[in-house]
Amino acid sequence: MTFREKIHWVAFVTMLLAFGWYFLAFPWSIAASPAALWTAGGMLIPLTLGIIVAMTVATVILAIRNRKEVHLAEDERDRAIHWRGTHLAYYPMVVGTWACIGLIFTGAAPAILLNLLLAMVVASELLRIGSQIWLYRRN
Amino acid sequence: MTYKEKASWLMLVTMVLAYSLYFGLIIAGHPAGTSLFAMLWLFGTIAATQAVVVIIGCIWLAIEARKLPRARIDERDRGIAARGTAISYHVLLTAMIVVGVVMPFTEPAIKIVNTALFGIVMAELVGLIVVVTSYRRGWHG
Repeated sequence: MTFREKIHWVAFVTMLLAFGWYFLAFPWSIAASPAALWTAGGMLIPLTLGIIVAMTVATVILAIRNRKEVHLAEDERDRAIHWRGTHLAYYPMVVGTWACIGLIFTGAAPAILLNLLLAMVVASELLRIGSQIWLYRRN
Repeated sequence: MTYKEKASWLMLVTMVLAYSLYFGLIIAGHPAGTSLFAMLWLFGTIAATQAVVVIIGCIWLAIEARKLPRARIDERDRGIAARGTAISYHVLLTAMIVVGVVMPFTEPAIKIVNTALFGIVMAELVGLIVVVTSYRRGWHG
């Protein structure tokens, strides 16, 4: 497994665990109330910091263990995998954005809107990183 | 110029014209900046007009392209399209983080809707600019 592929795995697992915790721990019973918005804000700050710290630590450890590969420039295959994965994730994000715009017209509470947009962003990112891992595995 | 390149230029020019008008009217104080119904009406009219122009233009370009020796989409066209959407993705991702995670705390619904629309339009425009410049510069991947 190459250094780039390992970094993709770190990002995928970190996002899955962090946002898995967020969506499971969020108090959905009060989601329509104004307090839910601030609860979401209070949960997202440590979550973002946690993701940054976890990914930085994991990347440093992987960089130390794979010193030879760290400075290797991105080759044609890496670029093709990057573009194909991102290309795949773009369309769900566009559809999700339109769905969230539609939701605003139904008078959805701000916290519900925040969580749906966040879920759409996280799902698109997981699809992007996941498809890139799959493309690396598939060679 | 290939069919894909001409179609990308057509979409780019019509998007710039249509959404300059839409966001220009909002900045000028049109009710679409404050009322969801007015926004829906204005955006619907402009987006539908732009879509009709693009569809008619693409049909005409497709008919014209049949006369050319290389009308089919090849690997390079697919590579350029993927490169364009990959860059659009990052623009839209940034816009959606602002719209979804920052704006619900401070802004009213209509402003969130218009900012989300602006994010989609900007993402599409950036993607199309990447596509047309890739064709012009002879990008091969």
